[in-house]
Amino acid sequence: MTGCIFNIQRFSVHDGHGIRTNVFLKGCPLRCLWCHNPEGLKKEPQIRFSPEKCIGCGDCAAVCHGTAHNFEGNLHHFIFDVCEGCMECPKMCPAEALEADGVIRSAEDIIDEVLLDRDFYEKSGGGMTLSGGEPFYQPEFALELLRLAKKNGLNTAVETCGMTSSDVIMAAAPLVDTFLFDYKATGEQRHKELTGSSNTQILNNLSLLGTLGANVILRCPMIPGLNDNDEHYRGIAETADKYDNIKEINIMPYHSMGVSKGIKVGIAPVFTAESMTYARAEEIKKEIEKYTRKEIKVI
Amino acid sequence: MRDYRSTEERFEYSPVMESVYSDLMARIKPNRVREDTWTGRDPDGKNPFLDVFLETKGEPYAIRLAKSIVRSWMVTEPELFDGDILIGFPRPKRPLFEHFSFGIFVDKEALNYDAYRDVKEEQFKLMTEMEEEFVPLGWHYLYDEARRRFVDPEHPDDYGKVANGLWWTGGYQGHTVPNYDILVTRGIGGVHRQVTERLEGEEDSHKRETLEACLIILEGFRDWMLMQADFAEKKAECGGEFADRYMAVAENCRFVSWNTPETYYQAAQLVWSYNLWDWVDCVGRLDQYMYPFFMNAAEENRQWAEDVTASLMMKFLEHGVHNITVGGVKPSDGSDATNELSFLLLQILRRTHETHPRMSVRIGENTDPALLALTVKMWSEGMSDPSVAADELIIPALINNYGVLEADARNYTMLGCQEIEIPGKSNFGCEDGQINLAKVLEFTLNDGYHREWDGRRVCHSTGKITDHDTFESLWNAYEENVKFFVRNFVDLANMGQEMRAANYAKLVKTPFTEACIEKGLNLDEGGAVYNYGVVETAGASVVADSLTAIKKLVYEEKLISRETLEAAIAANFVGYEKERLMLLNKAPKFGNDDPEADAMMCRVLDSFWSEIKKYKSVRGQEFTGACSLLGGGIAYGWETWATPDGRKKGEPLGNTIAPRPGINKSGLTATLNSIAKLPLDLGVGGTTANIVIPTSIMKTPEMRANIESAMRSFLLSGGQLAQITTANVEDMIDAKKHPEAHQDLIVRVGGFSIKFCELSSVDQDEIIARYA
Ligand code: SF4
Ligand code: SF4
Repeated sequence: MTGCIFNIQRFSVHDGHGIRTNVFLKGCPLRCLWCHNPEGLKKEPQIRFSPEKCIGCGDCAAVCHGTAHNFEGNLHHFIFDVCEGCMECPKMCPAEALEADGVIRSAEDIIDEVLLDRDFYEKSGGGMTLSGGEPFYQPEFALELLRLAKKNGLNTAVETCGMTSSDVIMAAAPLVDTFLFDYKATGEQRHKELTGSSNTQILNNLSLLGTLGANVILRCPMIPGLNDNDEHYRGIAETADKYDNIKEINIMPYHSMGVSKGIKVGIAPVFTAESMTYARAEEIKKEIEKYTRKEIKVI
Repeated sequence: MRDYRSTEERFEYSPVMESVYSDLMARIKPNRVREDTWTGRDPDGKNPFLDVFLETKGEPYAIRLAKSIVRSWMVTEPELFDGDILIGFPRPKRPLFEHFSFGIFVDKEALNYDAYRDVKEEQFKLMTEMEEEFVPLGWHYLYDEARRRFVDPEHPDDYGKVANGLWWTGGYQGHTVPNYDILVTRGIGGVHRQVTERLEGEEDSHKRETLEACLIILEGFRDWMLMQADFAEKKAECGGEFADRYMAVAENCRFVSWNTPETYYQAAQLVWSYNLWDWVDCVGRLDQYMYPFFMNAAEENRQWAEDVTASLMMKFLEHGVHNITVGGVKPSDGSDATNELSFLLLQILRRTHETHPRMSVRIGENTDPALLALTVKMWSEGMSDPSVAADELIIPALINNYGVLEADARNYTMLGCQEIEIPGKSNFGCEDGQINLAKVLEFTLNDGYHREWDGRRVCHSTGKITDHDTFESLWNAYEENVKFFVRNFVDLANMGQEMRAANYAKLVKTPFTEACIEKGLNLDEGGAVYNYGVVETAGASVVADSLTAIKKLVYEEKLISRETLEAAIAANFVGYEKERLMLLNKAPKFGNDDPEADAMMCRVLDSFWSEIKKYKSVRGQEFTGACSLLGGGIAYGWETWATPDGRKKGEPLGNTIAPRPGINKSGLTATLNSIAKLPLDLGVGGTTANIVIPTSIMKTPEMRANIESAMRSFLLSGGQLAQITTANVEDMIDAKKHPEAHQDLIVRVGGFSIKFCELSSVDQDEIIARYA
């Protein structure tokens, strides 16, 4: 089985337990205003262009059937809208100015790469983390990766926004050691405003994981001016307290890197703010601690 | 501190040692010159070597040298600092002094120093006339031969054009670890008896001279110790707060000037005194030979045992001891040798947070896990010491490839910067020299011609790139030149060794290196039990990545023609940026866990290290490889032409065995995996990986546990040595300016880690602001 991924990051030591390898799957059903991985939104491979690396050799234009590459002398303008996504030009580009943001690979092939660090997982209690995008946006592929990982005895974690069918959650639960489950906004209306979707299905899935007794960490992105308010802090605490299987809350302070990453894949920013300092995140942690006794970490 | 194993508790000096320490810091801070240590010029303008050589005309060289060494110590004023409990201070710099690599070092420049104003002319004349008496076999011995082989005798200076950037043969060979076990268990008197007995009936005059010279050193050492004792006693007689301590110093020195030490305090004074005479060289497994003494002392009076240890460590700090090794296994049964003293020594280094003494930790399957935990904790606090060494690789390699006895292999120690040897029993020639393989490839790609020295061929004509129809043909050409240079290198390195032997460069070490006395030979003429040679390797990953790029892009995919490659290299890529970037980006590179790139690196190292193993050092045994150059990668890179891995002329070659900066893009585990695949068992001279770990990913106990796991995996499954460079906010600021040097810098951003240099400048500023 094949699927589309946009990165494999080895030696990840911040997500889940031990030394881990993160596999980033393409595609996401939500459209959060602050998205920090905009290169993962689209399900298909796409072009990432870093103009500062381009030497203007023109080799990309030579292989392109369309009109995406335009030159003014040595100055290279890339028009994202007209790219047909054949992914031929990154192969030509000597400078890594054009890169394939997303490749189609087989699950076996990916697991083979993940297993290169097996010894490190064994010594540290780490394993594989699926991330994205939203890993369950390619449900069969994500499940296949998890099955193969389990077959090889790896610890598994999934970073999910929760927006998927309950069938997928049911199928995934026995294969996942830790769900890193997003909680972005309190109240359906607010959730719609911030992410473009209702949170009904997401909360259903969270409740389902509760019934199944899955190990869940609640992940809360903190976005200045959007959800750093008392109502949301209470919502986080209430949600965490509602389920015994939620052992921990993570606070993820906003960083603005999504903006420059988005520009490289042709997405203009819809929200900008200064990155949140760790000191501010610690303050927020204290606020939430007023409402819950669950463990809270700033990560 | 209750538990030296703790990563949370910290060691604190006793009040009196705290004041000794703050005096020390005030004294050395303004004086940091060489590697944070400092020795001043002689204020009295003494020249003891010259005096003795004038007095001893006609006597054998070894005897004159021994007497000069002793005199140079006896005319040096003792120094005992307020409240301190160990005595001994180095000699000041003088126009003549002994040196463990050269024999006697003649430094006529020193006569320009004020103190020599009145005697300058006369001494200059004498030193010039007597030069051959001071140095029986000088560098010309090696250089005349090198010039004969490589350049027109009419233009001897041309040799520099060949050698610069290619090699340094003959080396700066000096570091060894003398036998501190013997020192503390037999004492000076015990060794003196052994030499005296050995001398009886010896008829070979050369051997007699060597043994007699050893006796002069031992007796001189005793006299000097007694002089220290007298000095301390006088100081005690003046009374004052520390009179008791100074009296103890005097008694201590008197006792161990000849006797075997009985207490920890005596052993510490003896070790420091001898280390001083040994040029403050490496002290080996201090936690092993001192442990029985330490245990007894600690049982009686722990505070005192700690004070003694602290004072010893301060001496090592002030005078820049290169390496102390702790942990590892016991020679007798291979069980874990880590003990309380191993931890205490590390805790004191942690307390001082200084770069000296450098320390190494030996890690094996059964090593107390707390040792690695403390090590990682020290890195997390921004220290790059201690470095770590892998018992599981080094011990079997010494046994299987170099015939070292099991018990001796288990007892190996680190020395110098990152070299390995058997303490008290070996002269591994640390190091006999260095070869830059990238330069060999440079010549090979240009038909043996030098690129910047018109029309001059420096090695075999093996054709240009265009002449090789297949990759294997090119490889054979490269290998032929490797063989050519290794053959010449070994001959010249051995001549360097003959010089050292003739000049008795390691006379002070000789009586304390096993087998020298039995054989009646000095340490540099094969006196030791083990006598390997060590060759440092530079440029290996540049050669490997260049060959991989040529193989793939030129011979397999034919994306670049041989003619274009040749033109691009010749032009240092000017006008060929596209080709340069293809070579850089479109072929895999060593250090990323890529099978093809790593296999090429294995091939490059295997070919070179197997070749040098065919030759024997003039001291007696084979040469082994090493790869631990730090700054060397920059220096050799400066002299190396553009290379087909996309590296421009003058750019660094990369340090140690780690990939060139900017080349490892797949994370720490990938780099460690790549390195562990290499034939490191042929490079037991010391092959280290310099690894950059930002302190930000070692902040919490969980994070440190991950780093421990990563290092454990590396050290237990194929790695040899690692040394750590920690990165912090300052590094990030530097990385903004020099991204090429910080490609492996990882930072943490909102829950995940990312390569700092891949961020936009705005994002980089954000992160710096977040951590600041
Ligand atoms: S991906 Fe294909 S269509 Fe898009 S710019 Fe590149 S070559 Fe053209
Ligand atoms: S191939 Fe790459 S370097 Fe060349 S013009 Fe296109 S983007 Fe620029």
